[in-house]
Amino acid sequence: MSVIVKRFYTRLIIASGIGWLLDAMNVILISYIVTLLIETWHLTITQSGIIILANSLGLLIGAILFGKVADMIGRTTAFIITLLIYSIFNGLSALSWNFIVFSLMRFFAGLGLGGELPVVASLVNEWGTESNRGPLVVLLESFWAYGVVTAGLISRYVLISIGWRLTLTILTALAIYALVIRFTIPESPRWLIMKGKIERAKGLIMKYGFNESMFKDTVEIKIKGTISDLFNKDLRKRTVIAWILWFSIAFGYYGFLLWLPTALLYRGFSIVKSFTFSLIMTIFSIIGYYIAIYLINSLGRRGTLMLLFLISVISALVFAYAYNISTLIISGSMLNLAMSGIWGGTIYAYTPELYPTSIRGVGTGSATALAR
Amino acid sequence: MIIGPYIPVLLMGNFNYTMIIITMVFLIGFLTSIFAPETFRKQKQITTIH
Repeated sequence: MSVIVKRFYTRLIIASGIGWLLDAMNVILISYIVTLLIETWHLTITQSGIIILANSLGLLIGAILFGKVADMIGRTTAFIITLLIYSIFNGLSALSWNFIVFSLMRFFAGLGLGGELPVVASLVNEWGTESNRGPLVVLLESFWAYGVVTAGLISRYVLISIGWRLTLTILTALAIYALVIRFTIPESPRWLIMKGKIERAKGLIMKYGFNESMFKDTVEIKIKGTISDLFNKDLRKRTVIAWILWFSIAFGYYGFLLWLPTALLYRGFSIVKSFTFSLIMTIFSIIGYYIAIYLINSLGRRGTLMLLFLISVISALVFAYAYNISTLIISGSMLNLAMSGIWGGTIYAYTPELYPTSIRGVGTGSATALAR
Repeated sequence: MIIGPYIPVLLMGNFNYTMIIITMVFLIGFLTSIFAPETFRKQKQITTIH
Protein backbone atom coordinates (compact mmCIF):
# COMPACT_ATOMS: atom_id res chain seq x y z
CA MET A 1 0.00 0.00 0.00
CA SER A 2 1.43 3.36 -1.02
CA VAL A 3 2.00 6.27 1.34
CA ILE A 4 -0.75 8.30 -0.37
CA VAL A 5 -3.29 5.50 0.11
CA LYS A 6 -2.28 5.07 3.76
CA ARG A 7 -2.65 8.80 4.30
CA PHE A 8 -6.06 8.74 2.66
CA TYR A 9 -7.27 5.85 4.84
CA THR A 10 -6.03 7.61 7.97
CA ARG A 11 -8.00 10.73 7.03
CA LEU A 12 -11.09 8.71 6.10
CA ILE A 13 -11.07 6.77 9.36
CA ILE A 14 -10.39 9.81 11.55
CA ALA A 15 -13.07 11.93 9.86
CA SER A 16 -15.67 9.15 9.99
CA GLY A 17 -14.49 7.96 13.39
CA ILE A 18 -14.86 11.31 15.17
CA GLY A 19 -18.50 11.42 14.13
CA TRP A 20 -18.88 7.78 15.09
CA LEU A 21 -17.46 8.52 18.55
CA LEU A 22 -19.88 11.40 19.04
CA ASP A 23 -22.76 9.19 17.91
CA ALA A 24 -21.88 6.54 20.48
CA MET A 25 -21.53 9.18 23.17
CA ASN A 26 -24.97 10.54 22.42
CA VAL A 27 -26.66 7.14 22.26
CA ILE A 28 -25.18 5.94 25.52
CA LEU A 29 -25.38 9.28 27.32
CA ILE A 30 -29.17 8.96 27.21
CA SER A 31 -28.93 6.09 29.69
CA TYR A 32 -27.11 8.34 32.17
CA ILE A 33 -29.36 11.35 31.50
CA VAL A 34 -32.48 9.23 32.04
CA THR A 35 -31.04 8.03 35.36
CA LEU A 36 -30.55 11.68 36.38
CA LEU A 37 -34.05 12.62 35.17
CA ILE A 38 -35.56 9.84 37.28
CA GLU A 39 -34.34 11.89 40.24
CA THR A 40 -34.78 15.47 38.98
CA TRP A 41 -38.12 15.10 37.13
CA HIS A 42 -39.24 12.19 39.37
CA LEU A 43 -39.86 9.97 36.36
CA THR A 44 -41.46 6.56 36.66
CA ILE A 45 -39.92 3.56 34.91
CA THR A 46 -42.63 3.89 32.18
CA GLN A 47 -41.84 7.56 31.55
CA SER A 48 -38.10 6.77 31.41
CA GLY A 49 -38.96 3.99 28.96
CA ILE A 50 -40.87 6.45 26.75
CA ILE A 51 -37.76 8.64 26.40
CA ILE A 52 -35.63 5.64 25.45
CA LEU A 53 -38.38 4.32 23.15
CA ALA A 54 -38.69 7.68 21.34
CA ASN A 55 -34.94 7.79 20.78
CA SER A 56 -34.96 4.21 19.50
CA LEU A 57 -37.96 4.79 17.21
CA GLY A 58 -36.08 7.67 15.62
CA LEU A 59 -33.07 5.41 15.14
CA LEU A 60 -35.26 2.76 13.52
CA ILE A 61 -37.00 5.08 11.05
CA GLY A 62 -33.72 6.86 10.29
CA ALA A 63 -31.96 3.58 9.47
CA ILE A 64 -34.73 2.48 7.07
CA LEU A 65 -35.17 5.87 5.43
CA PHE A 66 -31.57 6.94 4.98
CA GLY A 67 -30.27 3.49 3.98
CA LYS A 68 -32.39 3.90 0.85
CA VAL A 69 -31.66 7.62 0.47
CA ALA A 70 -27.91 6.90 0.57
CA ASP A 71 -28.26 4.45 -2.31
CA MET A 72 -30.12 7.16 -4.27
CA ILE A 73 -28.23 10.38 -3.57
CA GLY A 74 -24.84 9.10 -2.45
CA ARG A 75 -23.13 8.31 0.83
CA THR A 76 -21.52 11.70 1.53
CA THR A 77 -24.62 13.81 0.86
CA ALA A 78 -26.78 11.48 2.96
CA PHE A 79 -24.55 11.54 6.00
CA ILE A 80 -24.15 15.31 5.94
CA ILE A 81 -27.96 15.64 5.92
CA THR A 82 -28.38 13.11 8.73
CA LEU A 83 -25.72 14.69 10.92
CA LEU A 84 -27.35 18.09 10.40
CA ILE A 85 -30.76 16.74 11.49
CA TYR A 86 -29.16 15.14 14.49
CA SER A 87 -27.25 18.29 15.53
CA ILE A 88 -30.33 20.53 15.36
CA PHE A 89 -32.59 18.29 17.42
CA ASN A 90 -29.91 17.27 19.88
CA GLY A 91 -29.41 20.98 20.60
CA LEU A 92 -33.16 21.57 20.92
CA SER A 93 -33.52 18.67 23.35
CA ALA A 94 -31.34 20.62 25.80
CA LEU A 95 -34.18 23.17 26.05
CA SER A 96 -36.89 20.63 26.96
CA TRP A 97 -39.11 21.47 29.91
CA ASN A 98 -40.77 18.08 30.42
CA PHE A 99 -40.25 14.47 29.46
CA ILE A 100 -42.78 14.61 26.56
CA VAL A 101 -40.93 17.46 24.81
CA PHE A 102 -37.62 15.76 25.59
CA SER A 103 -38.90 12.47 24.10
CA LEU A 104 -40.06 14.27 20.94
CA MET A 105 -36.69 15.98 20.45
CA ARG A 106 -34.88 12.69 21.09
CA PHE A 107 -37.04 11.07 18.41
CA PHE A 108 -35.88 13.55 15.76
CA ALA A 109 -32.28 13.47 16.98
CA GLY A 110 -32.47 9.68 16.75
CA LEU A 111 -33.83 9.97 13.21
CA GLY A 112 -30.65 11.74 12.08
CA LEU A 113 -28.38 9.47 14.05
CA GLY A 114 -30.09 6.27 12.91
CA GLY A 115 -29.78 7.37 9.32
CA GLU A 116 -26.15 8.28 9.65
CA LEU A 117 -24.71 5.09 11.10
CA PRO A 118 -25.35 2.66 8.18
CA VAL A 119 -24.42 5.37 5.69
CA VAL A 120 -20.97 5.92 7.21
CA ALA A 121 -20.42 2.16 7.51
CA SER A 122 -21.23 1.73 3.80
CA LEU A 123 -18.95 4.59 2.82
CA VAL A 124 -15.94 3.27 4.71
CA ASN A 125 -16.70 -0.27 3.54
CA GLU A 126 -16.85 0.82 -0.09
CA TRP A 127 -13.51 2.60 0.07
CA GLY A 128 -12.01 -0.63 1.33
CA THR A 129 -10.51 -3.33 -0.83
CA GLU A 130 -10.96 -7.06 -0.43
CA SER A 131 -7.97 -7.37 1.89
CA ASN A 132 -8.56 -4.38 4.15
CA ARG A 133 -12.34 -3.92 4.11
CA GLY A 134 -12.99 -5.92 7.30
CA PRO A 135 -10.22 -4.29 9.36
CA LEU A 136 -11.25 -0.81 8.14
CA VAL A 137 -14.85 -1.18 9.29
CA VAL A 138 -13.69 -2.70 12.56
CA LEU A 139 -11.31 0.21 13.06
CA LEU A 140 -14.16 2.63 12.45
CA GLU A 141 -16.28 0.72 14.93
CA SER A 142 -13.57 0.97 17.58
CA PHE A 143 -14.44 4.67 17.77
CA TRP A 144 -17.85 3.55 19.03
CA ALA A 145 -16.15 1.93 22.01
CA TYR A 146 -14.21 5.13 22.72
CA GLY A 147 -17.52 7.00 22.50
CA VAL A 148 -19.17 4.64 24.98
CA VAL A 149 -16.31 5.10 27.43
CA THR A 150 -16.25 8.87 26.84
CA ALA A 151 -19.99 8.95 27.59
CA GLY A 152 -19.23 7.17 30.87
CA LEU A 153 -16.42 9.61 31.70
CA ILE A 154 -18.54 12.65 30.83
CA SER A 155 -21.43 11.32 32.89
CA ARG A 156 -19.26 10.53 35.88
CA TYR A 157 -17.24 13.76 35.90
CA VAL A 158 -19.22 16.36 33.88
CA LEU A 159 -22.91 15.49 33.75
CA ILE A 160 -23.25 15.26 37.52
CA SER A 161 -21.50 18.65 37.93
CA ILE A 162 -22.91 20.83 35.12
CA GLY A 163 -26.24 19.10 34.45
CA TRP A 164 -27.76 17.48 31.37
CA ARG A 165 -28.77 20.68 29.54
CA LEU A 166 -25.26 22.07 29.35
CA THR A 167 -23.85 18.64 28.55
CA LEU A 168 -26.20 18.25 25.56
CA THR A 169 -25.30 21.75 24.37
CA ILE A 170 -21.58 20.91 24.41
CA LEU A 171 -22.28 17.70 22.48
CA THR A 172 -24.20 19.65 19.85
CA ALA A 173 -21.22 21.94 19.35
CA LEU A 174 -19.01 18.87 18.91
CA ALA A 175 -21.46 17.38 16.40
CA ILE A 176 -21.31 20.58 14.33
CA TYR A 177 -17.52 20.27 14.37
CA ALA A 178 -17.85 16.67 13.11
CA LEU A 179 -20.15 17.95 10.37
CA VAL A 180 -17.49 20.37 9.16
CA ILE A 181 -14.85 17.61 9.10
CA ARG A 182 -17.11 15.35 7.08
CA PHE A 183 -17.26 17.77 4.18
CA THR A 184 -13.70 16.64 3.45
CA ILE A 185 -14.61 12.96 2.86
CA PRO A 186 -14.94 12.00 -0.83
CA GLU A 187 -17.87 10.04 -2.26
CA SER A 188 -17.70 6.24 -2.48
CA PRO A 189 -16.15 5.16 -5.79
CA ARG A 190 -18.25 1.99 -5.81
CA TRP A 191 -21.46 4.01 -5.51
CA LEU A 192 -20.29 6.30 -8.34
CA ILE A 193 -19.53 3.30 -10.56
CA MET A 194 -22.91 1.81 -9.77
CA LYS A 195 -24.56 5.09 -10.79
CA GLY A 196 -22.62 5.14 -14.06
CA LYS A 197 -20.38 8.03 -13.01
CA ILE A 198 -17.32 6.09 -14.10
CA GLU A 199 -15.09 9.06 -14.90
CA ARG A 200 -15.68 10.72 -11.55
CA ALA A 201 -14.99 7.43 -9.78
CA LYS A 202 -11.80 6.93 -11.78
CA GLY A 203 -10.74 10.48 -10.94
CA LEU A 204 -11.14 9.84 -7.21
CA ILE A 205 -9.44 6.45 -7.39
CA MET A 206 -6.43 8.00 -9.16
CA LYS A 207 -6.39 11.08 -6.92
CA TYR A 208 -6.01 9.01 -3.79
CA GLY A 209 -3.38 6.73 -5.28
CA PHE A 210 -5.45 3.56 -5.71
CA ASN A 211 -5.12 0.96 -8.41
CA GLU A 212 -8.25 0.87 -10.59
CA SER A 213 -8.41 -2.94 -10.40
CA MET A 214 -9.00 -2.73 -6.65
CA PHE A 215 -12.58 -1.64 -7.37
CA LYS A 216 -13.17 -3.92 -10.35
CA ASP A 217 -15.54 -6.27 -8.51
CA THR A 218 -18.11 -3.45 -8.26
CA VAL A 219 -19.31 -3.76 -11.84
CA GLU A 220 -19.35 -7.54 -12.01
CA ILE A 221 -22.83 -8.08 -10.61
CA LYS A 222 -25.85 -5.94 -11.33
CA ILE A 223 -28.80 -6.34 -9.03
CA LYS A 224 -31.45 -3.69 -8.66
CA GLY A 225 -31.34 -2.40 -5.11
CA THR A 226 -34.72 -3.00 -3.52
CA ILE A 227 -35.81 -4.68 -0.29
CA SER A 228 -37.44 -7.54 -2.27
CA ASP A 229 -34.04 -8.34 -3.81
CA LEU A 230 -32.80 -9.24 -0.36
CA PHE A 231 -35.15 -12.23 -0.56
CA ASN A 232 -34.15 -13.66 -3.92
CA LYS A 233 -32.98 -17.27 -3.79
CA ASP A 234 -29.28 -16.33 -3.52
CA LEU A 235 -29.67 -13.84 -0.70
CA ARG A 236 -32.69 -15.08 1.25
CA LYS A 237 -30.80 -17.21 3.78
CA ARG A 238 -28.16 -14.53 4.30
CA THR A 239 -30.79 -11.88 4.91
CA VAL A 240 -32.70 -13.95 7.48
CA ILE A 241 -29.52 -14.90 9.36
CA ALA A 242 -28.17 -11.33 9.27
CA TRP A 243 -31.46 -10.01 10.60
CA ILE A 244 -31.56 -12.52 13.49
CA LEU A 245 -27.94 -11.78 14.43
CA TRP A 246 -28.54 -8.03 14.37
CA PHE A 247 -31.74 -8.37 16.34
CA SER A 248 -30.04 -10.52 19.01
CA ILE A 249 -27.08 -8.24 19.56
CA ALA A 250 -29.14 -5.04 19.44
CA PHE A 251 -31.71 -6.45 21.85
CA GLY A 252 -29.05 -7.43 24.36
CA TYR A 253 -26.71 -4.49 23.84
CA TYR A 254 -29.29 -1.75 24.22
CA GLY A 255 -31.42 -3.70 26.70
CA PHE A 256 -28.37 -3.89 28.93
CA LEU A 257 -26.43 -0.67 28.28
CA LEU A 258 -29.31 1.80 28.10
CA TRP A 259 -30.52 0.70 31.51
CA LEU A 260 -27.20 -0.12 33.16
CA PRO A 261 -26.90 3.00 35.36
CA THR A 262 -30.61 2.79 36.26
CA ALA A 263 -30.36 -0.95 37.01
CA LEU A 264 -27.49 -0.24 39.40
CA LEU A 265 -29.48 2.61 40.95
CA TYR A 266 -32.38 0.17 41.49
CA ARG A 267 -29.97 -2.25 43.19
CA GLY A 268 -29.39 0.39 45.82
CA PHE A 269 -26.23 2.11 44.61
CA SER A 270 -26.00 5.92 44.63
CA ILE A 271 -25.92 7.89 41.36
CA VAL A 272 -22.16 8.43 41.71
CA LYS A 273 -21.51 4.70 42.34
CA SER A 274 -23.88 3.64 39.54
CA PHE A 275 -22.10 5.93 37.10
CA THR A 276 -18.67 4.78 38.34
CA PHE A 277 -19.46 1.05 38.00
CA SER A 278 -21.05 1.62 34.59
CA LEU A 279 -17.90 3.44 33.49
CA ILE A 280 -15.63 0.60 34.65
CA MET A 281 -17.73 -1.98 32.77
CA THR A 282 -17.86 0.03 29.56
CA ILE A 283 -14.06 0.39 29.48
CA PHE A 284 -14.05 -3.30 28.51
CA SER A 285 -15.86 -2.34 25.29
CA ILE A 286 -12.54 -1.12 23.91
CA ILE A 287 -10.79 -4.39 24.75
CA GLY A 288 -13.65 -6.27 23.07
CA TYR A 289 -13.12 -4.44 19.81
CA TYR A 290 -9.43 -5.21 19.65
CA ILE A 291 -9.93 -8.86 20.57
CA ALA A 292 -12.48 -9.07 17.75
CA ILE A 293 -10.04 -7.51 15.27
CA TYR A 294 -7.61 -10.30 16.08
CA LEU A 295 -10.26 -13.02 16.07
CA ILE A 296 -11.97 -12.20 12.76
CA ASN A 297 -8.72 -12.84 10.96
CA SER A 298 -7.79 -15.98 12.88
CA LEU A 299 -11.19 -17.59 13.62
CA GLY A 300 -13.10 -15.92 10.79
CA ARG A 301 -16.37 -13.98 11.02
CA ARG A 302 -18.55 -16.97 11.92
CA GLY A 303 -16.16 -18.42 14.52
CA THR A 304 -15.81 -15.04 16.20
CA LEU A 305 -19.57 -14.54 16.29
CA MET A 306 -20.09 -17.98 17.86
CA LEU A 307 -17.44 -17.45 20.54
CA LEU A 308 -18.54 -13.95 21.51
CA PHE A 309 -22.24 -14.85 21.58
CA LEU A 310 -21.39 -17.73 23.91
CA ILE A 311 -19.48 -15.40 26.26
CA SER A 312 -22.49 -13.03 26.16
CA VAL A 313 -24.89 -15.83 27.15
CA ILE A 314 -22.77 -16.85 30.14
CA SER A 315 -21.96 -13.35 31.42
CA ALA A 316 -25.56 -12.06 31.04
CA LEU A 317 -26.79 -15.00 33.11
CA VAL A 318 -24.16 -14.42 35.81
CA PHE A 319 -25.00 -10.67 35.88
CA ALA A 320 -28.69 -11.49 36.47
CA TYR A 321 -27.84 -13.31 39.70
CA ALA A 322 -24.79 -11.28 40.80
CA TYR A 323 -25.26 -9.48 44.08
CA ASN A 324 -21.76 -8.72 45.29
CA ILE A 325 -19.91 -5.86 43.66
CA SER A 326 -16.99 -7.87 42.24
CA THR A 327 -19.19 -10.48 40.48
CA LEU A 328 -21.39 -7.68 39.19
CA ILE A 329 -18.46 -5.74 37.77
CA ILE A 330 -16.67 -8.79 36.30
CA SER A 331 -19.78 -10.22 34.60
CA GLY A 332 -20.85 -6.75 33.39
CA SER A 333 -17.35 -6.13 32.04
CA MET A 334 -17.23 -9.48 30.22
CA LEU A 335 -20.65 -8.80 28.76
CA ASN A 336 -19.49 -5.40 27.52
CA LEU A 337 -16.37 -6.97 26.05
CA ALA A 338 -18.30 -9.67 24.16
CA MET A 339 -21.12 -7.40 22.96
CA SER A 340 -18.70 -4.77 21.66
CA GLY A 341 -16.69 -7.47 19.92
CA ILE A 342 -19.81 -8.82 18.22
CA TRP A 343 -21.24 -5.50 17.23
CA GLY A 344 -18.30 -3.38 16.31
CA GLY A 345 -15.63 -5.92 15.75
CA THR A 346 -17.52 -8.47 13.76
CA ILE A 347 -21.07 -7.89 12.62
CA TYR A 348 -20.44 -4.48 11.04
CA ALA A 349 -17.65 -6.02 8.98
CA TYR A 350 -19.61 -9.18 8.23
CA THR A 351 -23.00 -7.80 7.10
CA PRO A 352 -21.91 -5.55 4.21
CA GLU A 353 -19.80 -8.42 2.88
CA LEU A 354 -22.91 -10.57 2.60
CA TYR A 355 -24.29 -8.40 -0.21
CA PRO A 356 -23.12 -7.18 -3.63
CA THR A 357 -22.40 -3.44 -3.95
CA SER A 358 -25.66 -2.51 -5.69
CA ILE A 359 -27.76 -3.52 -2.69
CA ARG A 360 -25.16 -3.25 0.04
CA GLY A 361 -26.71 -0.04 1.36
CA VAL A 362 -30.20 -1.57 1.41
CA GLY A 363 -28.91 -4.85 2.86
CA THR A 364 -26.89 -3.21 5.61
CA GLY A 365 -29.62 -0.63 6.22
CA SER A 366 -32.31 -3.29 6.60
CA ALA A 367 -30.18 -5.33 9.02
CA THR A 368 -29.32 -2.28 11.12
CA ALA A 369 -32.99 -1.28 11.02
CA LEU A 370 -33.86 -4.67 12.53
CA ALA A 371 -31.34 -3.82 15.21
CA ARG A 372 -33.27 -0.67 16.07
CA MET B 1 -33.14 -1.72 20.12
CA ILE B 2 -36.74 -0.75 20.73
CA ILE B 3 -37.85 -4.03 22.22
CA GLY B 4 -34.75 -4.73 24.32
CA PRO B 5 -34.81 -1.49 26.32
CA TYR B 6 -38.59 -1.77 26.70
CA ILE B 7 -38.39 -5.08 28.57
CA PRO B 8 -37.58 -3.43 31.96
CA VAL B 9 -40.67 -1.25 31.46
CA LEU B 10 -42.87 -4.29 30.80
CA LEU B 11 -41.35 -6.02 33.82
CA MET B 12 -41.94 -2.93 36.01
CA GLY B 13 -38.24 -2.36 36.61
CA ASN B 14 -37.31 -5.98 37.35
CA PHE B 15 -33.78 -5.97 35.95
CA ASN B 16 -33.02 -9.57 36.98
CA TYR B 17 -35.76 -10.97 34.73
CA THR B 18 -34.65 -8.53 32.05
CA MET B 19 -31.17 -10.07 32.13
CA ILE B 20 -32.61 -13.59 31.84
CA ILE B 21 -34.60 -12.57 28.76
CA ILE B 22 -31.45 -10.96 27.32
CA THR B 23 -29.59 -14.24 27.98
CA MET B 24 -32.24 -16.15 25.97
CA VAL B 25 -31.95 -13.75 23.05
CA PHE B 26 -28.15 -14.08 23.07
CA LEU B 27 -28.64 -17.85 23.00
CA ILE B 28 -30.71 -17.45 19.81
CA GLY B 29 -27.89 -15.33 18.39
CA PHE B 30 -25.35 -18.00 19.29
CA LEU B 31 -27.40 -20.79 17.66
CA THR B 32 -27.96 -18.67 14.54
CA SER B 33 -24.25 -17.86 14.24
CA ILE B 34 -23.57 -21.60 13.84
CA PHE B 35 -25.46 -21.46 10.52
CA ALA B 36 -24.07 -18.11 9.36
CA PRO B 37 -23.00 -18.24 5.69
CA GLU B 38 -19.70 -17.29 4.10
CA THR B 39 -19.49 -13.67 2.94
CA PHE B 40 -20.63 -12.72 -0.56
CA ARG B 41 -17.11 -12.12 -1.77
CA LYS B 42 -15.85 -15.50 -0.56
CA GLN B 43 -18.89 -17.26 -2.03
CA LYS B 44 -18.22 -15.61 -5.37
CA GLN B 45 -14.61 -16.74 -5.34
CA ILE B 46 -15.62 -20.32 -4.57
CA THR B 47 -18.11 -20.28 -7.47
CA THR B 48 -15.42 -18.95 -9.81
CA ILE B 49 -12.93 -21.64 -8.81
CA HIS B 50 -15.43 -24.43 -9.46
